[in-house]
Amino acid sequence: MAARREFRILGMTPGEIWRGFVSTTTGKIALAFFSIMVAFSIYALVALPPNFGNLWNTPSYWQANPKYAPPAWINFFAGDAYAPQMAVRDFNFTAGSSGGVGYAVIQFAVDDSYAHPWRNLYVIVRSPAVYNASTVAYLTVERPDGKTVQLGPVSVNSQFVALGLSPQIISQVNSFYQSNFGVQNAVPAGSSAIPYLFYTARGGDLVPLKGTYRFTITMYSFSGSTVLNRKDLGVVLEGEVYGLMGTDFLGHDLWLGLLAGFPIDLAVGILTAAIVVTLAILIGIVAAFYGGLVDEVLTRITDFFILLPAFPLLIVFSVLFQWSIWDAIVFLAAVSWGGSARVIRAMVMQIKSSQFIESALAAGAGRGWILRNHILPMVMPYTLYLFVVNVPGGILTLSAINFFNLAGAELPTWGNILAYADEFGALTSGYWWWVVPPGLLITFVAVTFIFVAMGLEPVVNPRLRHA
Amino acid sequence: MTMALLDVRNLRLYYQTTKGILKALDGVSFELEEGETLAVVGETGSGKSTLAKAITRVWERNVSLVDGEIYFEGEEVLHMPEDRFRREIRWRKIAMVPQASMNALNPVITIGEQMIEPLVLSGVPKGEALRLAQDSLESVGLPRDVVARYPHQLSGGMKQRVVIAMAVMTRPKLLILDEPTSALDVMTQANIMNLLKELKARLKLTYIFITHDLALASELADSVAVMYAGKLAEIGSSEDMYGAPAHPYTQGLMASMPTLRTDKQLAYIPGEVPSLIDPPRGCRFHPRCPYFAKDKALKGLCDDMEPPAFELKPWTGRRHLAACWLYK
Repeated sequence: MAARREFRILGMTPGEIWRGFVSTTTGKIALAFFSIMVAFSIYALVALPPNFGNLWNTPSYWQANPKYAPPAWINFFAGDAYAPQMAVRDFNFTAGSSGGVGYAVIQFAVDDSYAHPWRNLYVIVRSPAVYNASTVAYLTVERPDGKTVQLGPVSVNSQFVALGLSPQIISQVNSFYQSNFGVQNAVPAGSSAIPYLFYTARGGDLVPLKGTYRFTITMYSFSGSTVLNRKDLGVVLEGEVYGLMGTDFLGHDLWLGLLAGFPIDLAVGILTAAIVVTLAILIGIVAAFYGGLVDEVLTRITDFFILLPAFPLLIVFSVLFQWSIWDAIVFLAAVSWGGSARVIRAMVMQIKSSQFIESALAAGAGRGWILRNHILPMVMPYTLYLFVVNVPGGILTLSAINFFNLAGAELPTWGNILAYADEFGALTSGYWWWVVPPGLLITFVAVTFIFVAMGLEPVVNPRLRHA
Repeated sequence: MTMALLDVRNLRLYYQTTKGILKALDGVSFELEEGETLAVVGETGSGKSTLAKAITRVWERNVSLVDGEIYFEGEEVLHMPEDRFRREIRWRKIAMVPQASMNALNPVITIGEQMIEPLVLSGVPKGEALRLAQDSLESVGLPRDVVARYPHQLSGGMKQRVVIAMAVMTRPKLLILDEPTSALDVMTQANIMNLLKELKARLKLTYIFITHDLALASELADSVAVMYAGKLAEIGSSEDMYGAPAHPYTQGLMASMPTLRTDKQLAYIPGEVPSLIDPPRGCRFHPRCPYFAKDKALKGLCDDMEPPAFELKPWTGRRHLAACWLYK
């Protein structure tokens, strides 16, 4: 009887396909890139909260972040000049109440070694019970030069209390400089007062004072009951630099935004390619296989779609119908199958006239038999190739549409981030961290799929294969 | 005389093309005894392959006329219903090894699957069909496990053997070989020729061996038919054909064959095969015929009337026929 049947695709075992794919350098690079992409996508899906899209579009969520802050790692090149964003977690906390007044004391220390100190200090209150309960906060800063700054009271009446911009605190800092160093109006108008806590005056100029600063924030709540809990309170020092990828105009953490782009761009590309290839197979095979009038009509339709200016139409329809990114994908795929269908039609035409089809026909095979046993097995590997080739096109086009701030998704896409970068003049203002990474990532994904396609070539093309 | 295995009478096969009717076969008649090997030789476009297609009834779709009679074992098969022909004759009794067998195999399915395809289509259970295929592979000198291989894993010679195995799988009586060795190197060619000889003896096959290689034909052929422009120019036993070629075209062909021992000037026939859409009037060979060019007496005969097949005196038992006015 027949030898044990191995599982084979195109006469190759999965092992052979694997070896064929990784035998070329292109294949190895493709595999590495693809793994990186998939890993990031999975990480993004796991690490980002499920409502990340909502959070992204909620400006108040990003309120404590610096705006237009470069990534923190530029300190590596700039010699630790910029104070990074700092959420203070390990503070001392005592709370209690006396005489119907609840109080809480938060104490922490920071080491300042930066030429550009923190921009602002936020008291974050996570419970509405606190900021609805007529709470005030005092801030005491013990400086490395032994001087102490007393600030407050500031009323704590919202979730984010930015101390630096309160007029009262600005005037208190000014008077601190007035009385200690004799400097008038140390804080320029419209600027936050917090950085000036970290300066000293030397010969009339303000220079950074490095060393350890001890902060004490005392809060009083006059609502009567004790509502001040440690878990409801937080302190954030707004940095000059932020995180891995910096921030944009709203203080969005761009790292998270870029991360969210991975799964969505992958989905965009794969969905587009899947629809394109399905339509192309159907139309290509039907046209070539049935021939005659069917072929003529389908070929004309194919020509029409090849000539259709998909991108301008996509722009117009996106504006007219307020399309989401998924609508745009379906439209894009529905108009861009032409080229692939033509390739498949040509392929089936060639296969159809080959001798083994003639023999099968002579042996009495019907259309279904020939389609199933001869044509589909020969076309399938190429469709895999077409699929991979169609992915980058989808991603690039949808990124372009997103760049025009059209066809938005719930999640931020790279094209979307670029759109805002463009709108807020990132290029002219030198916010490179806002422009370069999304641009590179779009390129990276497109290149990955092109490499995968090139790596697949020896696998799907029997002529490039050695027996 | 016993009844011939194959009797082709006035076979005509025309194709409809955009330029007009192409007369690929125009009145071909011959007989083939059981066990005989007939080599059909001729230039490209002379209708050799069309003859094979006509006998197995696998002509192209644009055929405009199929006429004449083909008797196989005394039964007319050319106008038999296609369904019956497929069930009883094609592959079962008349099998064909197609030209360019490199392309005769689907590259993405196993040898076994392709070999059993016609059997499975005619209702033979898969297991039994596979066993037949393996037996057949063994009979052409291939290992049985070739059924699990794919065409790209085989060499050219092995593929050719597979195609031959496919053809002899159902033990046909008549095997039509359409240039079975055309794309093979000389060593492989010799191997295949030996295999064909051996198969013929073992399976009692009758061959129609289509080739343009006269030397190769002499290796196997009992008799030779020379085709020219859709017609049979000459047919006779190998002895007659190689020893005393009668038709000027056959003579030209023989003279163009290189020989090892004698140092002769290789001759060639000037001109080319005429268009089959608008063939020359009279004998189709007359524009290239050296006799016609020399002999004024043939004017008005060769270029006016088609020559019938004239019976010549054969050396051996087979009839020697030449369609040439020289033998009037």
